[in-house]
Amino acid sequence: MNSKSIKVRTVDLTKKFEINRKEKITAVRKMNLEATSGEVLGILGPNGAGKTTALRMVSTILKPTSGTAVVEGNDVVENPLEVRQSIGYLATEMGLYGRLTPRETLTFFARINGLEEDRIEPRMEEVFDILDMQEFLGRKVNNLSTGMKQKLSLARSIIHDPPILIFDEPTQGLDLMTSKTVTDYIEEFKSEGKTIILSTHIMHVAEKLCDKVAILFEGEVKAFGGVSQLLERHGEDDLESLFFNVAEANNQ
Amino acid sequence: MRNIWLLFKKEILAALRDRRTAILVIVFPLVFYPVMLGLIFHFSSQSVPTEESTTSEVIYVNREASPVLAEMLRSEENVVTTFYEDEDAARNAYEGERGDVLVLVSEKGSSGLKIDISYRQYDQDSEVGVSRTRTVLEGYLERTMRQKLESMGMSYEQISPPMEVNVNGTGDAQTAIGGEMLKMMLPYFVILSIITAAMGLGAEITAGEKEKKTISTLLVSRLSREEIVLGKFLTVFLVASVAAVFSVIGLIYGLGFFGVELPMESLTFGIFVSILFTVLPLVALLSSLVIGIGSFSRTQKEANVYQTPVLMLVVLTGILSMTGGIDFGNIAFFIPLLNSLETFKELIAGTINLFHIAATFLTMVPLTLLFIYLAITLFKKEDILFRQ
Repeated sequence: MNSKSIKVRTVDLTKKFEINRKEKITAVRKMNLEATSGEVLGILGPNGAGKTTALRMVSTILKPTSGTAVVEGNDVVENPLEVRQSIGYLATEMGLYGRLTPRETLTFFARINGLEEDRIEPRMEEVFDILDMQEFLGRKVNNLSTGMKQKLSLARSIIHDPPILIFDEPTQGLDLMTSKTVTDYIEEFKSEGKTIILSTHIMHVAEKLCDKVAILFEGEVKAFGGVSQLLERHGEDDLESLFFNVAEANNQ
Repeated sequence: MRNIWLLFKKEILAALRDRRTAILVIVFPLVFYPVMLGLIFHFSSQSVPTEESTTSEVIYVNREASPVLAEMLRSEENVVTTFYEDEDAARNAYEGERGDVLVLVSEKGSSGLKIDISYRQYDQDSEVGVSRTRTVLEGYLERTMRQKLESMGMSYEQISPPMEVNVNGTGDAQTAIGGEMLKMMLPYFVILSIITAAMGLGAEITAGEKEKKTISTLLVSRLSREEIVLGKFLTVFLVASVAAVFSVIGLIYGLGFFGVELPMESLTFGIFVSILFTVLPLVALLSSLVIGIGSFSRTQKEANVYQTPVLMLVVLTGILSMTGGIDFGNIAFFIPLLNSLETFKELIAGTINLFHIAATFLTMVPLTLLFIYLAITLFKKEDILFRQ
């Protein structure tokens, strides 16, 4: 692995939230991770482990309390606009504008993410084909099924063709069929050489997609490395067993 | 600027497809307010009695005290006089509203009269009746004086002051009423249209974004927080401005439809430009205020709660301006909201006072900038943006 291919690196990334004037909680504590091109990094952990907070910091939505993250060579605090241009972000909630059509949604996001005007139409056609969206492009988002909406959310995150994709629980709340469609697309994005960071607590999704995983408990990375290396190191056969092994160690 | 424009276009497109926006921007100003105002005018003008159309019923007690006066009253045009001998019966009739005016006549001294008149102050028919009774009494007084002066060898003209009074009504009464109504009502309905349009949309595109979780998709785009706030502010500003224009059109045509003639010739180009300089800062201030409130709120519902005092303040200021309840003098033109309404009223009356326009503009614009700055500050605060 050479340093030039590192797309995302976090250095002692920490986030504290103020609950009230006296009390603060640490949502993410000194997180050190890295992901290289064409790699899928999975962030695993139970609810409240700090996965979403970590991804939000890497995406520049939240500012780190201390430490930093560097995305495609740009510091998230110093150059947030440059970072945003190089990432596609998919939040847990689909967050779509109900009164727009998919075509209008994607045109808007292509433009505000800096895609050149002459590239918008060809890129949209490309994305429509990749995600098989042709049949519902003219319908209002409010009238789409959950699966269609999830496709649109994915399309929105890749419309400006960013090299890095950050997906927060991309299969949460989806039925089995839609969930499989999403994971298939993520594999396709990976095969295109994109760097993908995704959070999930569904182990078989992580096992299928991830090259590397970081297991988070209470904001701290308890295990980080290549999937096969981690399984070997902990003497486990699958990610689920590894996860429970780490969880048990964390509880002790 | 390009990013602000892109966001603005997206917000406008979404707003145009929202039925609520259509109701607040089109239906309310163009249909609801004019119909409401027209009906108020229609019914109030019907209920106002005129001298010509009203017959006054006078209850008169003690005809014998002065048959001359009784006869004068009886023969007065549009007056029906009912004579009573018994005072109690007359009072009962008056209290039972079988007459508009009660006239009690009794003798005073050898040749004098004491006359007590009662009328109902809240009743416009009664006011017309007492006015007519007074006119008859004045005629009776003049006639009696003439007779007494003649018996003394003098003429009435000799001792009366050399004065002739002629009262002439000028101008078209209908147009004058229309102008007054427009001056009084238009600013109030315009500000009401602005605030109702701004509130609904403002809450949706700020707090609503947080509630529907669409905000993070904007935050990870190349839009800066400043651009997000400005794009949203411009959206509310445009929609509220359209609502203001529609309310002006609606009220002018609405009042015309209900037969109110308006002094349209006084609305010159200069007045129109001055109105823009007066009303647009008002729209900007209310839009920025609504965006600021929405940026602070977690949900649309919460934003609506925080907007309520603003709405009440707007209504109160509107009523204050409409009724002229408190006279602030020139200070009124430095009081936000009130200054726009007062200047607007002057302009409708055809008066361009540059000092008042400048005072309004210079008071409202810095305040608008302050609210926009506050909204941007709120949009940069994580604990506000992601408040649970």
